[in-house]
Amino acid sequence: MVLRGLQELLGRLYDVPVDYDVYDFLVTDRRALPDFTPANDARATDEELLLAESSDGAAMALYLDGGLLRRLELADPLGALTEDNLQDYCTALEGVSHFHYSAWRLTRDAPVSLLELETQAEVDKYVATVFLIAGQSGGLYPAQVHARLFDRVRFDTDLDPAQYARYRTAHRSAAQYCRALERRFVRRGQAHIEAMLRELRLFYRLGSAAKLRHATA
Amino acid sequence: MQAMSQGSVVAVASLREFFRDAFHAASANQHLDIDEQAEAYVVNLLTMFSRAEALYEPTPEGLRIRPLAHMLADALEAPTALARQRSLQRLGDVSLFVAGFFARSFARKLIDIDYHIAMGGNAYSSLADTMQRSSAGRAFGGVYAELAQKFQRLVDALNEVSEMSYRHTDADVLRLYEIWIKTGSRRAHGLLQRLGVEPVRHVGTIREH
Repeated sequence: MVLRGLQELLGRLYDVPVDYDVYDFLVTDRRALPDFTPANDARATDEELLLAESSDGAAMALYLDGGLLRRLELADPLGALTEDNLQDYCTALEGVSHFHYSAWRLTRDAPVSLLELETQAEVDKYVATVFLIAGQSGGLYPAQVHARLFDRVRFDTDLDPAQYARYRTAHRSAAQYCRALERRFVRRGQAHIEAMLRELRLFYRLGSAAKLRHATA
Repeated sequence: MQAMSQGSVVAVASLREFFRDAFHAASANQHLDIDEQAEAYVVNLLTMFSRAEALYEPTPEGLRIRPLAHMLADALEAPTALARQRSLQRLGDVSLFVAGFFARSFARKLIDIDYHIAMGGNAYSSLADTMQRSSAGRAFGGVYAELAQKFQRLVDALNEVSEMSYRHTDADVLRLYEIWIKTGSRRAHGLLQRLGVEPVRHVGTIREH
């Protein structure tokens, strides 16, 4: 039930109710996915959010690799997030973030762009990681998270130029935003949680271009 | 051009002519085969951005080059197709110029050259797609398609233009290596070899996409 825990964490952080349980939309066997190539990504990755227009609105499915999920169930990051489960946790959290954000926007008839999905997911990874590690290690703000998540990364070499530009923009914008969060709300290892959450909840509710501008202001 | 590489000052009749000659020579050096129209576009761009007011924009912090993400946001929420095209063109032009002329200054900044190459190439590519769909824009669409396709090579050529009077030293090895790792620049690879380094790729840590 790791994914539900991650979804509830995001719901609490952003004060966004969990309208749909991620497990109701989860697919772990790639053969069960609809037989089509997504318009924006032809790669087979461990995490994919599938969105399509349907007769009554939108259809959604979240694919996460079954092996990855099994590993996370054995080493639950909600109990202990370590270097050993960090990669799987980041992949799963990204999927849950895409699902939760898309569901929230679509149920409010708000448009959602790939760029804002990716930007929000990067911020979600940072914020969730900070809160998890702080909770697991005595409450001090974990100053190492920003560098770990934003500096030591590499991008898939199979990305096409448009994908690469999108992921880099999302990654950079989120890195800048999260650094600004630390500057504004963290003093001597202590975070002003209420003010930070107010800011994060405002950010979550911004649309695509406004989110980008706000992140890089 | 010979005089320039020796470090002396050369008087030129017009800036446009200077950039045309310099870019032409750099393209030949970099074995960059580029259409005449695309070459004219780049020369015009260099001439235009030689005026600071064309490159820098007023911001609350004073005259600055606006963040590329803000230019992308302009394109995302442009009210008309024409406004979107202008925003994408600006994004592509600024990315190309900055990556071409400020490559060495990136070493001290968070933003890096590969980000400009990705953003600029993508902006020109989107512009080409849009323009090639209309009969009026088809000719320009071809130019933007070529600029998108050869963006990295163009940056190499512009790096050469900007460094014509500069002699690389051992201190540049790390920076050239970073540029090569991030962009695959043939020019950086060649310069590294000239400095006695045979570059080898290595892998990073967290996998993003």
